[in-house]
Amino acid sequence: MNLPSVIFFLAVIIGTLAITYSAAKRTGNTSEFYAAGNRLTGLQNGIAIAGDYMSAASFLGIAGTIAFFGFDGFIYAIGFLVSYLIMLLLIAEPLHNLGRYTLADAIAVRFESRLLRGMIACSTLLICILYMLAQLVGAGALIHHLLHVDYKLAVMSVGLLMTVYVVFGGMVATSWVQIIKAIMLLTGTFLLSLIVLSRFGWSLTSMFDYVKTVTPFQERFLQPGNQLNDPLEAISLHLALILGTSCLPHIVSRLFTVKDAISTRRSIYTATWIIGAFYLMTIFLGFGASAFVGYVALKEVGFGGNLTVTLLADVLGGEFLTAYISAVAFATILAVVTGLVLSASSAFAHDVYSHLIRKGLASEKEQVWVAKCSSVVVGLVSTWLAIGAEKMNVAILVGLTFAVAASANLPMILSTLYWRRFTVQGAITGMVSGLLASILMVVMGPMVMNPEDGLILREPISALTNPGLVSIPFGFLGAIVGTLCSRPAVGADERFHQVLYQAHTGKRMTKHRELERKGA
Amino acid sequence: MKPDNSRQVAYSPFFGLLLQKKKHFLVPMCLIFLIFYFSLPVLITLKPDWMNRPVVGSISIAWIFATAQCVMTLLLSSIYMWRAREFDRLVQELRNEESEEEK
Repeated sequence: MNLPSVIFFLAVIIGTLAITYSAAKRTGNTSEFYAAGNRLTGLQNGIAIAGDYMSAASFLGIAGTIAFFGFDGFIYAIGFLVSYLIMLLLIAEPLHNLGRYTLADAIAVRFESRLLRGMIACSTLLICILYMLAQLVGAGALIHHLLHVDYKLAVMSVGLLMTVYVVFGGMVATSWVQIIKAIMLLTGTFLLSLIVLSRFGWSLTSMFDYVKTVTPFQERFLQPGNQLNDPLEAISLHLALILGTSCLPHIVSRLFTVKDAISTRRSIYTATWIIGAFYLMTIFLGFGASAFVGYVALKEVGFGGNLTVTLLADVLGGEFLTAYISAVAFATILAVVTGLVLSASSAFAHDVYSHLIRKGLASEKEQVWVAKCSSVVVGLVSTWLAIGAEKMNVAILVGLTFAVAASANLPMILSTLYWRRFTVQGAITGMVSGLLASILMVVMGPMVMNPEDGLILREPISALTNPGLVSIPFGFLGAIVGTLCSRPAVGADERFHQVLYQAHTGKRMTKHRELERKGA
Repeated sequence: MKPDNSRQVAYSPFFGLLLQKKKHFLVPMCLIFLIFYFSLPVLITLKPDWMNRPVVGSISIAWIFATAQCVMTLLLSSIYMWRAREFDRLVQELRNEESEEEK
């Protein structure tokens, strides 16, 4: 452990705790706790969304994948970015207009089913916990490597910090942690990219010319197919990337922190630019690592290429830059898990407790209290799971997260917003089939079933590592079959019209108009 | 001012227009970006040699195509931001109409 690292890490911790302290006065009611009182501006929320989205997996993982496999690493970056078009065009504004704090709120405007609300809450909890587990395991290993502290201690301190931010600072603190992290991440990446580019005399072509001579892939480094050589696998990955990312619960809950649809739109637009700029820069980080750190050194450190960026900083800028970049990685991890704790606890406290158990009768005070308690429980459970999962292959968790989001949530959300005939039975069967299909496909796939080192020692039944190609159509199919096999409820058409009206104008249909319509 | 035609009440002219305009804009946009996006893996599979043809130095068509996906995302989202102002105007008209009715 060296002095600059300690200073930068402490600065991150003290800074974020200070934010939490100043936000703590404002977490008295549910609107403040879950949605920051809708006071964020489009720009602030946009930066925060980008912060929530650019996880350590993308900062460290994608740069590492590009450094190892060249072109195929960049494919991930593209998929993560393009998925924002679906968010912006189809999902963001309608969900904002319908919902209050959670995804289930928005869906409940159309279907007042307790079962459906419970299922949405469960899928949110499942996605959050799986994703958090992946981030925490990665974080523990990373901090262990950077600061040479014990893995358990590292996981526990991240778990403690994220719980403190959420319990005391709610959405206000969570948002500002994201904003700071996003700015740190962008400046760090920008700085490294400039240094890499300057080493090549500011010439893109000489960078491309050079990298293809230094890796074991040689010429093929710049060509597709080094990692994804099966076209079905590639399409499957693409589907999960562009459809799953926009349904991640911690991103969806950010849609409710601004005051109107126009600010929601601005948030997503801002986030798209930031994320676009960031992912373009990952090329420089990846190429810089393969050029200056070198394939052999990267491989030796191991760790799935997750230390690529810190190694690059070390080669390019020495101790000080490494310390800064490590602090950026630390802030990145902290911020993402904080967002996840908040979404998970709002799914439990708001959807399960307030709506299903107390049936909307709980007072504001009681709701906030339960929300804080559930954040503590979520924090404890995920920290405990992460400590036990030290040796686990994180890729399984991440793959499952995106598959569940794309297969269980997306078909249900899109049909609720745009399909007139859709029924509550369709929503339930859609979610169940998407969820089951993604879990089964992961369990039967090569990540779990592997004759050498899998959790189940046998030949995989399905050859696909990415389950999306099968599980996403299953989700849609379930929704369609469930709908066609059920009769629409009485007044369903009327209800859909109201949903459409509220989703696209941001206003409930007035009683006056409703009466007139019924008379018609 | 009360519209007397029942069909028009069901779909207030402004709301009907809003939905129609949104549909005419969003459906082609989504088709364009999905086709453009999936043409990347499809072309990689079907025309690998063409994709690997260098254009500037060692930068091949595949890299330019992949970067074009970023450009496409930013371009389409900017077009949407611009078009959405028209949707907002219609929503505003709708609200004005409503507040008049309620008087």
